[in-house]
Amino acid sequence: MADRNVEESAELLDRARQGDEGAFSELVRHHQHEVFTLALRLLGNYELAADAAQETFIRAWRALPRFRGDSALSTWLHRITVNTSWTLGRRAQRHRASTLDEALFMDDSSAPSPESSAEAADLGGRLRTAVSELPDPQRAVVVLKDIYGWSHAEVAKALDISVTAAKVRLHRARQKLKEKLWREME
Amino acid sequence: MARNGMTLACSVRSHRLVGNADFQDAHVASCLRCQAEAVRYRTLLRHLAELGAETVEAPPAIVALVTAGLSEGSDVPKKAAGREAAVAAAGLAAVAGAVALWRRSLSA
Repeated sequence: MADRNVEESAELLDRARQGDEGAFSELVRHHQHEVFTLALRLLGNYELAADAAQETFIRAWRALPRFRGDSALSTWLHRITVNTSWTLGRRAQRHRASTLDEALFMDDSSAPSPESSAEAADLGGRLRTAVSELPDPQRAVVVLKDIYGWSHAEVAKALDISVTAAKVRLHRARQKLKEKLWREME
Repeated sequence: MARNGMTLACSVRSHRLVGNADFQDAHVASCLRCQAEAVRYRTLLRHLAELGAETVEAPPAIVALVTAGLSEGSDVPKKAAGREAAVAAAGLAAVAGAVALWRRSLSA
């Protein structure tokens, strides 16, 4: 079953590479939720994340002829999502600064909680809020390293910063999250 | 003695535990405060990793919007079509040039 899915994905990818829009739409349908989730985690804003997901797929379509398949399609899409989210996030930040608009907070109330106990679910919910309230550069590092399991080197490369800077940001972000979560519990 | 009863030794370990929640040494092994700190970081990291397994449903319009965007701003088919047209134009120009040279050689 899994093999068949892989074969179907490879076939869709081949057709999409040759300019088949229908095949690419099928790939979008398949990957839309994971791309949107990553954008939402990075941006902490539902509408901006929707824009980022849309822009990610358009960029992917344009770059598809250059995709050599060295990494999985989802990994490649994740990298484009990070770049796109970063660009849109900075643009939105400039817009907010000029209009003094209030930042919107992440609304992922529709996200199912993986926890079975009410206490754990509560911690998960507060953690999502705490992550969304981190400053953008720290949130990006926590999302990629601690939530998605990227290496320090991959995070540094994606965000165009040094490995040391990535580690420092992660250190500060984890301290903030820990203090926020356990100070509230005490 | 530092703030909130935390010793300098605890403070140093706290910084180590941020980077590595499993960090252990003689002080951590005997200090309840540092052990509690280690548990907090391990819990934090476990819950963060669990967030990675969650998927938030994308807005329903995304597929339609992307598909519409492909038709409007699609580079792939246009580039392919443009390349074919350029190759065809170059071929025609070469044939026309050859015919002109042949005619000139006939008249000479």
